[in-house]
This record gives sequence, structure tokens and C-alpha cells, in this order.
Amino acid sequence: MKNVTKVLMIVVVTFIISSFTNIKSEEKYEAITTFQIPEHIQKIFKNSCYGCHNSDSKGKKSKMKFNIDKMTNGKYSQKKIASKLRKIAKLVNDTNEKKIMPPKKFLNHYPDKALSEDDKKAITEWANSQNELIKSELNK
Amino acid sequence: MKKVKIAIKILVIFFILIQFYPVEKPAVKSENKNDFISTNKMPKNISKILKTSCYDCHSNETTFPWYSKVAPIKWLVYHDINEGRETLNFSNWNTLSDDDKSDALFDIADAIKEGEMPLNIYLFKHSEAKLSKAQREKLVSWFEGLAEEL
Repeated sequence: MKNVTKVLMIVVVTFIISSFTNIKSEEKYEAITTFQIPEHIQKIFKNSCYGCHNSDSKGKKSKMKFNIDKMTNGKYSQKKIASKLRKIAKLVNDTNEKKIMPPKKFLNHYPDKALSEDDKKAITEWANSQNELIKSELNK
Repeated sequence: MKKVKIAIKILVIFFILIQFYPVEKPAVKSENKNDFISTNKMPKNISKILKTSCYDCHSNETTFPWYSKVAPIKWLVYHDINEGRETLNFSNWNTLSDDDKSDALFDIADAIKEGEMPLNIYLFKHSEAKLSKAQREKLVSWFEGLAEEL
């Protein structure tokens, strides 16, 4: 009798302890779906941005600031993607010659890589809407 | 020999003359109510690193060593400070929107991670500002953590 009671007590205590030590699943979790860039935006990026802003680029600083590959291969967190999207929307429309993307000096050598007004509009709309989407996901 | 002497004299005169070229010294302000360190909780070792390795160019609390008052070094130093403050000024941190703070934090983490910052030319004369691998990792993880929290 004594032994059974002991075992029962151990089992009960174990249950009580484990109910306190369960790892709480996070109330908020980042969307597991990987971020994707629509075709029409990819086309613009390929022409005007990939040269400096992907993993194969020789430009260390440009890669560091923004790497398109990292947006889609899971290396950027949701929050970081949102941050880059905000920056993209800002920089393609920047009136400051020193800040505008693609850079003026780059376009002097490669004028065909300039963004048309339609390109800028498409990028801005896409970036802003995706940013809003991520924000609402994160605030759930 | 005579030519060399003349050349040296010209150089010296030139060197003296350029000291008079007017350039505006970046303003120094020690009290900054919107400062990053005073408006954010952080471990002491992080704030110490920031002040030693970042604040000369990225805040209003710049200290100017003697050589930074001599042209042409003066021009380079002032230029770097102005550019640094324009890109990121920790003294004005709390005036930024949450979005801008988030953007800055990710950029800071990346710049430290990739070794872009502090600038090598700054470290040349400020060896105490050099960051070890461990310090970099600590900073990066702390900044990234703060960015994700925002």
C-alpha cells in the first residue's frame, strides 16, 4: 500500500511540475511561408538592381545594405523584409541625387538600367502593399 | 639642393596657408535628451562600446584630437563626422519614427557584421575603438534583437 501511494504521489507531482514547465508556444509567430517577389517586379529588379544587390555582386556595401536573394531565401526575417521594402519605396523615389536608386553614377554608365516612371510606380505600390501585409501579419 | 630647399619652402608656405581655409567645425553638444543610450536599456558593455567606437562620428558628442585641427586632416575628419551624423546620429535617436528606428537598427547590425563599421581610417588612429569578433557578435545580436522587438 505504502509503495503504491508513493508511486501515485510521484506521478501526481510529476504532472503538476510538468504543467508549469511546458514551453509556451509563442502567441505570435512569424509566417513560415517564404517571401516571394512577383514576376513583373522580378523583371525590373533583374534589369536595374541585381547587378549590385544580390549574393554574387562584387559590391560589398550594396550587398550589405540590401540583398534581393536574402528576401526570398529566408535569410531576412519578416521585420527585416518589411524594413527593406520601406527603404526600396523611399529610395527609388528619392529626390536627393546622392540617395536615389539606382545611383546616378551607375546610370551614367548604364542608362538602359534606369527605372521608368511605370517601373517606379509598380515597385512603390508593391513594396508598400507588401509592407502593410507583413505589418498586419506581425500584429495579429 | 637649392631646388629642394625651394620646394620645401613652398610646401611649408602652402601648408600654413591651407590652415586658413575656412571650414565649419561640426558642433559638439554633450546634453542630448533624445540620445540612444539614455533612452534605451542596454548592458553597460554595449553602451561603452558605442561611446568608444561609434559616438565620435555618429553623435553630437564628438571629441577632436589635436591632429584633427590641422588641415588637411581636419577636412577629412570634419567630412567623416558630417557624413556619419547625416547617416545616423545617435543623439537624435528618439526623434525617429518606429519605422526609421527599425530600419536603422537593421542597417547598424549589418554594418557591424560585415566589418564596414567602424571605418578603418578611424581605427587607424583609435585602436581602442577596434572591435573584436566577440564584441561584433554581441553587438549584432543585441541590435538585431532590438530591431525585432520594435
